Amino acid sequence: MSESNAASGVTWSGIPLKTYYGPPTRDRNYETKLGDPGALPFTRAGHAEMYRKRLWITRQLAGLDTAAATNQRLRYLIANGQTGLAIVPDTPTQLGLDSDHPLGARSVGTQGVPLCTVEDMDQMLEGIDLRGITASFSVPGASVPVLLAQLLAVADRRNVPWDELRGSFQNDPLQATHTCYDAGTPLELGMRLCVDAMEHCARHVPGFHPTTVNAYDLRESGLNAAEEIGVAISMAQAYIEETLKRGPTIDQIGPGILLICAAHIDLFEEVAKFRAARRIWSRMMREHFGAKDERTCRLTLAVHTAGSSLVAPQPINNVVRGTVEALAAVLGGCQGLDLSAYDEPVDLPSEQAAMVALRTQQILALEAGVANVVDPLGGSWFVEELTDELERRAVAVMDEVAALGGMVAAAKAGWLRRLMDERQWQLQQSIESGERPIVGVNCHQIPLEQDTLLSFRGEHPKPCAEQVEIVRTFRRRRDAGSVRSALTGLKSRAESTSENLISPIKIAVEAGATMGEVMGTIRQAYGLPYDPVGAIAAGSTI
Amino acid sequence: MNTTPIRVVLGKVGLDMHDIGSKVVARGLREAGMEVIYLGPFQTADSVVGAATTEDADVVAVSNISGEYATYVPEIVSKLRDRDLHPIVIVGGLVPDKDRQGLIDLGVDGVFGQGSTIDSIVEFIRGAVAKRSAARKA
Repeated sequence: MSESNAASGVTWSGIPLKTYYGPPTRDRNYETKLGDPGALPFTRAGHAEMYRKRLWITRQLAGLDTAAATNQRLRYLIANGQTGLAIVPDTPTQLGLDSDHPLGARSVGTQGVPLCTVEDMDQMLEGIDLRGITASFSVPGASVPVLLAQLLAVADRRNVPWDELRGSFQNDPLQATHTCYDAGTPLELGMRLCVDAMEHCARHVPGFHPTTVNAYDLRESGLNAAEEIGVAISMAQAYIEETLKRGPTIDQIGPGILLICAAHIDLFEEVAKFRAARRIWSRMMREHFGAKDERTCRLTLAVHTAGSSLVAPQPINNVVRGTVEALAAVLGGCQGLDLSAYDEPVDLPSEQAAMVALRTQQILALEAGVANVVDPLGGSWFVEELTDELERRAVAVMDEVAALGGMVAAAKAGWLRRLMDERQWQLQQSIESGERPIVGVNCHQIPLEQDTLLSFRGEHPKPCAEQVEIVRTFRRRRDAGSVRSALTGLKSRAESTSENLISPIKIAVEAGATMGEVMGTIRQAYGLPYDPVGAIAAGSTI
Repeated sequence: MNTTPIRVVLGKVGLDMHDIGSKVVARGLREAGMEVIYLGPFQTADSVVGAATTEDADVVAVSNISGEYATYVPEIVSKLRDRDLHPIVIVGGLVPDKDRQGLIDLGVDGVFGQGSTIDSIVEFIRGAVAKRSAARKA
């Protein structure tokens, strides 16, 4: 038994099931608002057969200590049936700093994997067939072009053609600028690098998704379900408009953009949210951008269950929360799913917690029968009305953003920051007042000393000294002259805003330039400090 | 009754960018009548102690969930002592139980982890500041 035959097409009692169910006659209202699965406007599902043909991609976020340690975790998850990779780089990598940067060295490897050099990328993916698996990188900020260049360089080393690469980055500067992933990168520069990656992939890496708008972090930042999709789709619109200016058509760009949404604990609202997002997306693509290709109009949804819904007290209960949320993602028709591990509120995900999260997905897929029928809640009076209401509210948010001059203008005006701050505060108050019940936190508590399930390692994460040494050794062995000359070339191309930087960045990383050196060079070209935190001087590492 | 508002310097140390908790705490302390100088993320010991000095802080509060507090907090405490500054020092974020006593022994006054309420932090700060100023007058 494996995921390939998860959908048996019969209930456990032997009752045969159709691929999907619908009204006896399809009237105009049905065709306009819902459509059959796989048909415009894709409210019901992006594909006609969904999980009967292809199960959602199962993956669990991984990234720890070194590239080698992360490779072990990835291979462990693959060996246990995971079908995609979800990679989270550490904070120095996210912020475009090196593993041995004075601040970087104090957090290296603690919240993700250090991907400082092309060797790190290669080692992390060692023994993993790039043709056979999707690699999803959880990176919203400006370091995306460097990681993309590293990935393309590794593909070249292994003779994997770029059009066979599958996976995604977040590449979402509007989100990054609101969640502190943008250190040292003004929005103009972030947008340029984002669009460089989108244009490069549209032209040369067509099977890869360069941009996954991170609705998830918006939700984690306090926004409600309608705001989550309304703001995220407005962000997608901004990226598309900028990329269109470079020349590719909407049908070249559109299929490359994904949304990664949160699945929160309110089961039916979440299902309705995913359905509403698909309907809004297809209308935007057709009516606003004039898309012709149905693939452009079909929203691909990655889903991550809400880390913020998990709590420290009685932590094993988080497995139940994750199950309800994963169910929402599956009933809502996601294409990829990863669960926040149950120990996240108190620790970095342990191997055991990652395994339980993966097994939760597999139990849903293989035992619960939810992969059999597409859009099983479609036609429910409740869910259809909730879908319509989520759509109305999300569209109202998009209209508000449009009235402010689009998402870039709204971000610069502080609109989103104010909304997030307000919502975070309201959320905290609703938890403290008990208005929003959370089991173990404001009801059904047990004294801490009796909370025997709180038996985690209880160690704080420690920076990985080994990685600092790996990078130092790497620097000693490379040819400094080649690095300097590649960076000089990159700088002059970065000074001209009309040049796409992915190719010169790739040349630099192949010559041995590190993450911080590439990003520092680009910052300098923009008249910004080489090091955003002012700890090291330009060129001091070469 | 002392009507001068309590002044709090609040920031996140290191590269950890999870700033929601610290922003919510900043808002909560403001709503409780304190003056909050919010430094934001990516602070170092020098930037925190520098702000504490220029702002004449009654309270220095730092937040972190990635373990980086383990190196920054001892530095902050020692640099405050070097300058003969004695604010209430608070650490927030993800701090395993067994680290808490170590921080207190170092000179940290309070540790507030995941699930702490705004009320409990406000109450603690008011009590600790009152106690310290009473001790100074004595």
